[in-house]
Amino acid sequence: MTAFAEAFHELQSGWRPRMTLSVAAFAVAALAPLVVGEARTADLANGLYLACAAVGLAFAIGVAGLPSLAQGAFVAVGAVVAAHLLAWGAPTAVAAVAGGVAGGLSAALVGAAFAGLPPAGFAAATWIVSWLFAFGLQSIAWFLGGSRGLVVAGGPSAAQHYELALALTALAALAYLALARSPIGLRLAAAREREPAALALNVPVHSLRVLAIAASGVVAGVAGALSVQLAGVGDATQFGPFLSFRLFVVVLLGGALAPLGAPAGMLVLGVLSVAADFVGRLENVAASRAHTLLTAIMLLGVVSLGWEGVLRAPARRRWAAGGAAPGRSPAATLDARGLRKSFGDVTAAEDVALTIEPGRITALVGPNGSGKTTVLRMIGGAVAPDTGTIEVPHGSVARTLQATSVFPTLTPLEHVLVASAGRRSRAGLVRSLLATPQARAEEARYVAHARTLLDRFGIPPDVPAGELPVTDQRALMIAAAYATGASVLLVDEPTAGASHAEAARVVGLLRSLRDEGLALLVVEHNLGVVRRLADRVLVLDAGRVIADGPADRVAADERVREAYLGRSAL
Amino acid sequence: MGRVLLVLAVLLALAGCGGKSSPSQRTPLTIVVDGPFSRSPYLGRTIENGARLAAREVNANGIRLGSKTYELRVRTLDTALSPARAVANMRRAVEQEAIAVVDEGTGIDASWRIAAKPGIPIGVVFEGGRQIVDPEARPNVFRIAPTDHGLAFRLAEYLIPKGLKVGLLHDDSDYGVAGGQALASAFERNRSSVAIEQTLPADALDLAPQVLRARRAHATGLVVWGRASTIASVLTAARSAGWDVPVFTPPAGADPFVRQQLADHPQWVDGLTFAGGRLTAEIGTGPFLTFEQKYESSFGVDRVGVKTSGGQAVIVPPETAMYAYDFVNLVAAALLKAGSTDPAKVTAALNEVTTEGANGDQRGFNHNNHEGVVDDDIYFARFHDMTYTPVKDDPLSATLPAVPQTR
Repeated sequence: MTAFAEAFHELQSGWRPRMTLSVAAFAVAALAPLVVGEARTADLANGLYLACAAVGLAFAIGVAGLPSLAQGAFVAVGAVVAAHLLAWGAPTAVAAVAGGVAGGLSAALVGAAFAGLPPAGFAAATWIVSWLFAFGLQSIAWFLGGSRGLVVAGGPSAAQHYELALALTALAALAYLALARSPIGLRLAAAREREPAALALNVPVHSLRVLAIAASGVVAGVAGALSVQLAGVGDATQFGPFLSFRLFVVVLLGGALAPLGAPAGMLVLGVLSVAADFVGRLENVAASRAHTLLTAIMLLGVVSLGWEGVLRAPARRRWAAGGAAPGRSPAATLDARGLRKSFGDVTAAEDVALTIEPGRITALVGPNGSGKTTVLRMIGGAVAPDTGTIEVPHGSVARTLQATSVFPTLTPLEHVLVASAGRRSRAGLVRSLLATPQARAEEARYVAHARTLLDRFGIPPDVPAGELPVTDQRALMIAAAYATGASVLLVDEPTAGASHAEAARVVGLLRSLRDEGLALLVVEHNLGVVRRLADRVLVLDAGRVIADGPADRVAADERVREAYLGRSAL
Repeated sequence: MGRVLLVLAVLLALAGCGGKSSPSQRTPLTIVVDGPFSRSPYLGRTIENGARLAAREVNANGIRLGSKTYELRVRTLDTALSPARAVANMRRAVEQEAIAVVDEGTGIDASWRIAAKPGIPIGVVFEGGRQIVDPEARPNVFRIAPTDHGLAFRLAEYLIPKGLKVGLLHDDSDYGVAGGQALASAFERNRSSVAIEQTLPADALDLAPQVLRARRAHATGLVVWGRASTIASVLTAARSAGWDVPVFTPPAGADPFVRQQLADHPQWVDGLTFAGGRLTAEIGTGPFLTFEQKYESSFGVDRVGVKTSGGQAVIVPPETAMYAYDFVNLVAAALLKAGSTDPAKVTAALNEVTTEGANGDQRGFNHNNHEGVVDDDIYFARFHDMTYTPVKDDPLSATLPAVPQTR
């Protein structure tokens, strides 16, 4: 009961007039079967099922940045499974669940195969998948009875389907909102905005994308399963690539970043379809052709005008904070031996050995092209060494990128939450969806910790990171890396382009982290910074370590002077 | 002012009394035509026209039931050859309180239940699948069109004695699949007459590999059951390869699309033989030609779009329109018999009425038989010079006169 009371209180405190309008709209919509006939109710129910599938797609596109053109195929998978189960006499609920599972599994497979592609590649691959599914349905009569269809008798009435579809669409929109604001949604958003930066913070980008596309597939599968029962027949012609295309347009039209964007898009397309029917009748164009034409025009309009859709993203979440700070991983030492990496004929690193110890800052310096970033990437796990070993406890390394790489639309607070999500034990899919008391309590602790951290780093927590000064963005990258809980931080050129005062701020931050017991490896060009910062300096030349020791000793090394420091001195 | 109102009231009262009821005073009864208007426009339109012609004739006097006079109003819905659309259309027909549905046949397996609840009768006028009509299980489904079963058995009966080794080809459309099953059943006891059985992809542009396979199987005749496009593709593949194999088809062979596709090679159509419901009755061509004349004066001539070698334009006899026309006339008769506009009572009455069909045959159903075209009425016709005439080597067909097809 406490959990419900807590949730109710949270809902009450965050209530907005827009929410009242949404609830009122749903209440009015629920009365539709009372005023329209059965045929129109069935049409509306079918539209709502498609809107439900579109909400799933909106999550994949808007939050995860996966422009899937296969959502219609996942709807079809749900429909096929449900049609067979219903034909064997299974209850509606069983068929719906099975359809959802089948839709989710097929989507997960597609995600696993293609989620690593860039957005255009993913769109192309899923479009091909959509065609393959359509060919399969049309050619193999077993799936949906071929051109005759697979008859599905019985089940709820059109009005019951309508209410069910309305409830499911509302639930899907709420699930979208819950997931988008959860650690899963934040990390997906981060990966969507800057994948390399997300990877540097140990965000499991591929796994999360597969999860996102699978979740959208589950919604599509349930929608397909119920819509096939509503139709009374499994009909392969209803699940062609045009369905995927239509759902895609609906999402873009309504707004991919808004949970209710897809239903809004469906509404707009529905109204325009009625107009198209009217014009089609005047021009003697068949309705089906008029709809295809209309949908294509809508897509062109949305794409060419750069329109964000009818509905915009909801207001930022107000994060509740409180509770004890989460603990950090124990101090760890990173020990690398015999690292070698070649790119074709070019050897970027040869027999590199280094140890990064807790409570010490190790600087890695060298002329341009000496292999510093390659060594950093090998240690960070971004590239695998050809030979050599790296010994460090799993998940205890995080790094910042050479270029300033924040997630522009996320706030610094959200950055830190993205980074710290990997440490949380109650931020999985189910807990995120249900917002269990334990999950909320854990979240509050991490939010409190994030605010403290940002305060310590002097970064305003609630503005979009893209609007921060560059030095704040640099500091934010370090803060985010720290927030991962890693005990070994790899920092790539933290003062690049910084003024003397800004560099001093970064130096101070890195020293404070060292003093906390973290092990730091800093790649830096500003030799003055290195001298002030580093406890130990490694010098690379042509991929090899040519000097290793305290800054003063290295500065005096003749080989270093010859290879790298000929024009100046440390 | 009071006097003016009094005069108006008297005039209104007089207008409502006695004499022949004007159409505006009649209560409309909706006949829904459910056809593939967007995917197979000719078929959809010809069904619609047949229904409209019958409705127009019925409306000349109206249907008087008790004190009320009714008229038939035809509304069309497009199935786009999609079973799901057909189900949605049937819901719409129920919502519009249709008195009957004239249906091409797509999706009937799913949609008949929806019409069965209020008892709306469905008249199938094209699809011949065996499962479509079942007086016991589907009491509201009737058919006036040759059955696949009848066509297939007549084809078997016609071809087997000729000693042909036939290739049974059907496409994977609804129509083709049902026909393929009927053919398999018809040739079941004479497997030695079958050289090969193949399923063809509907809408494929090139069927040369499948036709070549049939040739290599030493087929000496082809029975092609599928959409008109499939038949045209088979003829193209066979004739362009120099294979002059005789080709036999269901009524789809007479679809204008086949001749339109092969307009550049009229000789490839020569010899094409199709089975269909006969257009003329024992009493001669008179009734059908009268119907055709009425049809043409209402809707114009359906031109194939090709000419004979003598330069005459080829037209399409309104065969499917005839079936729709007959079904609407039967519904009108059933309304009178039932004395009610309750669709369920009309369905029951349909089992008890007969009318004279457009071709002069008696049309009607009974409680045990909802088929309006008997298998014995199936005849064969062969193309020559873009028009067809009944064959002479089949006892029934040999007695039938040719229907003029040029203008």
